[in-house]
Amino acid sequence: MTNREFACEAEALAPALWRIALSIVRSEHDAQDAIQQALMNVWQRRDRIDGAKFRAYLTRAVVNACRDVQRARMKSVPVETMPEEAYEPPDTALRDAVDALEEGLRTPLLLYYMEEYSMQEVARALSMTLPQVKSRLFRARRKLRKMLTEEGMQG
Amino acid sequence: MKRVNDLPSRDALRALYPPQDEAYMRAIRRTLAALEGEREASGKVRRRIPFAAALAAALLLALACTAVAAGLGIFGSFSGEPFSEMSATRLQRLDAVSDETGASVTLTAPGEQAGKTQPADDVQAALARLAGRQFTLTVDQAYGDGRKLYYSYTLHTDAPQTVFGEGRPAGIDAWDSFVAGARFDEVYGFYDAGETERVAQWLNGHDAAYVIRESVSLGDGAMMDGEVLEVYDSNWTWKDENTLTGFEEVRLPDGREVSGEVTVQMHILYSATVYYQDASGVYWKHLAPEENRGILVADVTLPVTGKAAPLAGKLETGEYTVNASLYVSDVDVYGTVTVTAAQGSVAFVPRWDYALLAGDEELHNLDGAASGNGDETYTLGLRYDLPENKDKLILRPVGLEDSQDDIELVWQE
Repeated sequence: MTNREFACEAEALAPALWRIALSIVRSEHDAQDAIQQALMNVWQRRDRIDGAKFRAYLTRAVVNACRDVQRARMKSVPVETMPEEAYEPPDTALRDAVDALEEGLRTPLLLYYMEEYSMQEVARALSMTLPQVKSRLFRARRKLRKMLTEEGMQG
Repeated sequence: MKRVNDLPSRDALRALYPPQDEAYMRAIRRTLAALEGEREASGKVRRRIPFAAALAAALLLALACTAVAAGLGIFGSFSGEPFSEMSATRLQRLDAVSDETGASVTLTAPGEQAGKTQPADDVQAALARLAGRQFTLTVDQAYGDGRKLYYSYTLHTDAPQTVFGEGRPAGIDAWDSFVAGARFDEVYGFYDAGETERVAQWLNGHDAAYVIRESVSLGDGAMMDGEVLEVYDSNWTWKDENTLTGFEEVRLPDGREVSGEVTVQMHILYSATVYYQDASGVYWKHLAPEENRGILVADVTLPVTGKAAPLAGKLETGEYTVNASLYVSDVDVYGTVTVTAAQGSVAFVPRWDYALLAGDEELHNLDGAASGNGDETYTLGLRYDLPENKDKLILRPVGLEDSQDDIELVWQE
């Protein structure tokens, strides 16, 4: 993949990576840091990247960088001192339900339904097999539906 | 759009997260432009100072002060940096196990110095300013395990100069990079943010202007007997405006091992960079002396006092075979797993990351670099912090809940 192709495709993916990173680290600053770290990491390996798999590859790097940020954050800044993000989504019940999913279910769900990755891409991005992705999506849907139903009944 | 039926729509999910703002997109573009065209004239991309570091600045400063107070060496001084989480434990261990060498080499840049003859143009003047420059490279600490070398260093030089000029600089026929319609600080940035601002102010204050900025760094990696020792980890920082300090980790080529001591060649890179900005955009040109391309070679002898102990393991299924080869040194555990398909292409074999199980500890893979040999094999890089208990080490695929795919590692010596 050429330098120019890398830059163009990475820029086009930036909005999706932003949402995915935010769903993991929940801080705009950390999301930006993780994405930029991932870009630098993937850039160093760009000559080994199959262009057709670039989206999955870069997403995997971002997810990994987010996990690194989380671990570093846990070591350097107590979670309770982190500033709250000011953004209030239109559907807070849905936000709470999605946030309540463990990351192992939430990230496959968001990649597939929010960013419309193929199952194969989700598998590549998260280092899973296809059956694992299917299973995670099934469990995520079931859990989300249950939480939203309970929320609706309570509300 | 996928049909979801009982799930919220794509747009409802996207609305859960704040939209990316222009500052974010600008930062991404700046990063990409920097990766594409600019390496800060030092030959390496400086790890970006994270934006979030501002949030933790006070804490990190306190950590740094604590590090100095605790007498940490150069390796350890980098362990408190943002994003050093992958290296922090290893760097602190390196402080404990490395030898303090203090070996120094002083080199002088060749060429005709400024003032002896009238330079023909701005490029010749810039090159003449580089001539005669002295560089002193000191290896402060070193550790080798036979297969890898680690060294921390201090590189001192005369104060690099920055020249500010109006109009287009004379003597440049072709630019290395041009970003149409861009301003300098949208594309480039220096380690010192104040320096970035100073250069941007000068360029933005003129219809057409240039800045020629000198720089120095240690080249990534080293050479040994004509072979490249590829760098696997590094970091550096300016101690003051004349002094750079940092560390590098290099691996010997496959099959090579050393003991006792080893002499390697390190490379001091020095150059000047021209930044020119006018209404059409921003331009960039790297300048280095023809005779040595801005590279000075320093012979340095490093002690090799450690030894990496080998481990191996194997898993065979009906579909594929996994061979694990690892080494345990005084600072970490590293190696590879290589996957071979029983039949057909390895592309269809599941690709796992591996955690290292050691007693009660489960250690995360700090490497993860993947490479393949066509359809035949797939190799994943492994690196773990050194576990406390090394009696029984097991690799377990991340995401698999049972142990049928575990690879038990066996000491080879």
